[in-house]
Amino acid sequence: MRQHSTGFVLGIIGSIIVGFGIIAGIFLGLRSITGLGYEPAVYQAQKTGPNSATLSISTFPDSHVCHADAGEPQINWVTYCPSTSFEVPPNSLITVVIYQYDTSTTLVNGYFQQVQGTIGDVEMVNGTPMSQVAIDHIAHTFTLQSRPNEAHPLFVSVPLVGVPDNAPNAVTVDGNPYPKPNVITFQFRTGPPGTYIWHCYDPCGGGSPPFGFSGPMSTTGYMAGTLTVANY
Amino acid sequence: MTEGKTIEGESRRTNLMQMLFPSVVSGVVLGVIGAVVFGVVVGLITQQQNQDAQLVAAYIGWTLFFFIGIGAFEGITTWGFARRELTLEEEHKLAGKGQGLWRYFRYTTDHKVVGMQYLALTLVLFFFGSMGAFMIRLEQSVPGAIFFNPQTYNTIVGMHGILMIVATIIMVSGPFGNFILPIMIGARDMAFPRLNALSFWLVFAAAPVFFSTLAFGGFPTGWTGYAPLAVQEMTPGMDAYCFTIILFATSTTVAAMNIVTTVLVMRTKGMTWGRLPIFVWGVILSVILGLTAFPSFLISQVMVLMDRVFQTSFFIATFGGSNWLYEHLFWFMGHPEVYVIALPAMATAAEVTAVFARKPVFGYRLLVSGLIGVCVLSTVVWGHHLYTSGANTALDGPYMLDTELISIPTGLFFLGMIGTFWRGKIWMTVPILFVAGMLVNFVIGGVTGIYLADLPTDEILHGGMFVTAHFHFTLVGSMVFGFFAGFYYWFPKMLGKRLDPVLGRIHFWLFEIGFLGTFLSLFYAGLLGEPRWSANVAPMFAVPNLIASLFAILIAASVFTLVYNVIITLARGERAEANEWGGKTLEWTVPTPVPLENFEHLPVVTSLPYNYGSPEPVTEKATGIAIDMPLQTQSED
Amino acid sequence: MSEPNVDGNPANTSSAHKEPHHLRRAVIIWAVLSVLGIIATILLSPIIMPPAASALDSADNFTFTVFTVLAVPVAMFVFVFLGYSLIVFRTKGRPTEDGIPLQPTPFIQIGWLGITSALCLFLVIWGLFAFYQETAAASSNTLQVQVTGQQWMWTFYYPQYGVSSQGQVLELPVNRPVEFYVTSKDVLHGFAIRAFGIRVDANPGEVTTTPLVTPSVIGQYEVACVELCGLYHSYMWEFVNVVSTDSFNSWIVDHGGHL
Repeated sequence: MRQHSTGFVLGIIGSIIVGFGIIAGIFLGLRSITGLGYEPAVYQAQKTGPNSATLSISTFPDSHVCHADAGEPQINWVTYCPSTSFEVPPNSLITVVIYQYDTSTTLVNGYFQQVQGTIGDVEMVNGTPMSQVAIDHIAHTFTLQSRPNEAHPLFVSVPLVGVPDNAPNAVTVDGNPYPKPNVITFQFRTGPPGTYIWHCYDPCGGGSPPFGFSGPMSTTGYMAGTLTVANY
Repeated sequence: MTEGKTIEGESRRTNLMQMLFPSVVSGVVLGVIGAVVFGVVVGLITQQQNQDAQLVAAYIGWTLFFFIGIGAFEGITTWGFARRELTLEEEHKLAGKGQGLWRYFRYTTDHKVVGMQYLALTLVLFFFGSMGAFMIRLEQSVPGAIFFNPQTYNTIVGMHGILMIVATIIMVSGPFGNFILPIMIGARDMAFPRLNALSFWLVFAAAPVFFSTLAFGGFPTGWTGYAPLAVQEMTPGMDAYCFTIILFATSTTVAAMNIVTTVLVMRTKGMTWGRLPIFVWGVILSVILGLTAFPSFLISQVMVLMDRVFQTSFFIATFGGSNWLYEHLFWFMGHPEVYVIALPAMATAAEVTAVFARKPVFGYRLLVSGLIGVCVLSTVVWGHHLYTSGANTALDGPYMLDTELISIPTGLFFLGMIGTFWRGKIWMTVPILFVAGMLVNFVIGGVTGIYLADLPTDEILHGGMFVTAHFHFTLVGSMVFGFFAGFYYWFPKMLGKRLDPVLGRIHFWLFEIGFLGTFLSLFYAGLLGEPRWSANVAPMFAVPNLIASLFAILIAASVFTLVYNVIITLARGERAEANEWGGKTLEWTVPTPVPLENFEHLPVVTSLPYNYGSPEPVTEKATGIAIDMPLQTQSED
Repeated sequence: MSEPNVDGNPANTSSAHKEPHHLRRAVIIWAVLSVLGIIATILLSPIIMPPAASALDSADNFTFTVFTVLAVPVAMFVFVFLGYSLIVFRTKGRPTEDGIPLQPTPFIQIGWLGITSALCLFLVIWGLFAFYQETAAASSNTLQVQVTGQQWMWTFYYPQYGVSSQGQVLELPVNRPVEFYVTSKDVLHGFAIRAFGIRVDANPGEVTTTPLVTPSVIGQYEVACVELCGLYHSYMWEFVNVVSTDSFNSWIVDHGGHL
């Protein structure tokens, strides 16, 4: 029979340690492949007071501004800018300002034409309050939803009005021409710290459904992301 | 002197060229070139507008040129252009004669080489599949998608699934079906040696195609690849999955034809169907089932690729297709497929138990009937995967009947196994430990299948972790344990060395305890209602998931113990005897290492290889098999 | 007592005299453990199963218990006989003699097939019976809810009242049968309410229905998605609020519907 010396025992322990090292290596390797699941850097809302903050974001019809070094086809994807990972302070009034540069795509689910969950259940579109938008005048939605079993649920959904299809290019952002944006503002309150996800529900991903829901619509960093309520 | 040096240098260069070409090295090099060329050409034709077309073309180029590079077409080109068949010497060279270790890296036709190649590939696939499993358990150990982005997680889940499915399908029929089975039936090789090599290298060629999905954005559908999500997915990583399946299904079809023909035609004299070892029954029934089922899988993936590349609409409702079509095509394969996995492992367990209990198989005919019953019934039960799909419920009752009926032939298997153990003289080796673990896990797995087969309870459980725990208990807890029983049992015959039994026991106990802890917790999580494929585990399921992840650490330790065992055994293990365990099947009558043509003289069989405890006079070599020498060789090729 | 299931092998009877009655012992152990297991199942079942909020789910919980009670003796058979064999019949090292060549008598074969078939038939009949109970016809009072699954949220509409759900909440009145009409706008989703015991896939371009279910306990439950639908599949959840009929009516009116 084989001798079972200390060398043998050390060998078992050593192989287990090496094995867990391999697991760690594969873990880090998988996380480093950006094409596999891309989480951009966190973008924090600007604090405007002890219990208030403003989050200023944009939606573009392509990725030249925010993902300038992306290859095909991502460079042509619609996207939220400057990031899709937001951070806002807890127990505060959050004002969200969205500069919307994109044209409309018809909603497939009329549910999302209403404004829900904001203060006063309205959004300000270029200064005018609106509580719902016609389903074919919507370019994107910003819909914030809670994780399963959330103790402090938040739900906010606003349709973002699209610019007309034939609008001329009037402004330049980082050297890229775009039409004059619609400025959409709304407010909501946060509770204690937590994590929420948000997502666009207008099939703006290119092509008719179900393809409109793929591509940027299914990719964090473009039309889906997280909103963390945390102290900072 | 200079002349001699030049000649020497030249012959070294020619030797290197002869070694590398044809071999897997030349295959890979040419395959990569082919992939790039095809991808670029199609890219030019489609003006970069159709990424899926480019990628699929690249995969076609890879496959075609890989096989050219590895020398797969040698026989065909000789027949077509040189207008002759291969000579005996060329065939021997193809079978790896005189090539040493290089024969494992070539298109070698010897069934023993193919068996070893399959064994190595199976272990590698299990290793990477396990890595995926540990990533999954890591992500699910705490609520929230903290460790991986949900998109990454979905790809990991899909990769774990397919790697394990491929590995478990080939795990017994590949290594042991190829290496051991021909010897066990008294043949010199398989019926179609070149197709044998083809079946292996097709799976090998599928591996880079599959892993390339990581570079192209992964795939979000899990291993089932459900359309319409599969068609909707924009990133081309989905095509890698579809193409892998096409290659793999082709491989299993080729291998199945080979095994069926070999067993039908090349059994040695005296080996009637009534004297066939149980292992052979298990493998042949499994491959016949695979022949029926896998073409459906293949065609479903071809259709998905056509939907993606050519915008056809097989599965897209808005353009007139139906997602239920995909579900039927997939599950018509998907259900028999688990029995393709199960039958060889169950048969291996029966084979191993007879040897280590020193008893004949309890009810050979009953056991074989059980295997046949499982094989036949499994083709008509796939509808139970569609109970809650919303499709017409008219056939739900009959499907429920069929599915519950499978418990009867499965029960015959248990009767046979328990009866073989009962009143035996049980030698507690590592293979028997794995068989015992298999039986314990299979009972739990089989019983939990009852809840899933029953329509009303399936409504609660479908798509939840209960299903996951059930199929892990059956596929992993039973069938992979059956594989390991066969692995520890046949390792001395295949590699000539003895695996360390202490490490083997550690492997078993770590695996069994870790496995039970992990999946019993997941059963509980499933009862509570946890959905499958959860990158983000809800807080109400956090505790069972954390417990499952902690037990999974034990499974990880068991994997590494096995790796350590294999490495040190290969490096400096003890030599094994030709009949290490005292088995009576034909493979234990040949020396180790097994000579190229297996038998010097083909044996004649007079009884089942299970006549332990028989009062009949012991025949030559105490194997119960009379060896007739000399005799006419079989006129197989 | 000679072993009843040996095929007339003369070498066996002598050893049978010295051996304890293994079969009898194992059967006794099996019977005791089975009884203990059945008792444990009946006692633990209400603790392990989550609370049911409809008669359908209660029936399913009961089915679970019954099937487990039947499964316990089956599982114990394997565990006990296997364990007994491994402990009592093991050898030290390589065996020097062979085991007794047992073969199943016709009694064992027919008995085994008979028992397994009877068990199987019972399961099938029970399941069919429960299934047909589910396909009860709609009463006149049925609440209709249209469920739309999208990547990655469920939205609900009550066509009888012209009102949509608000946020991530499905509001339902207690003790009123409800029928869900489920569809999807993009890919497959799985509409599942665990506490009610219902589940059906949401298929694009098709409308599928769940069985008629009557929520019977006021409380908060969950809707989950149980068919992998992409990135945020595991976030696709909503709360189900089962409230009194009065609360439900005022909810409808508050949200712009008509009674």
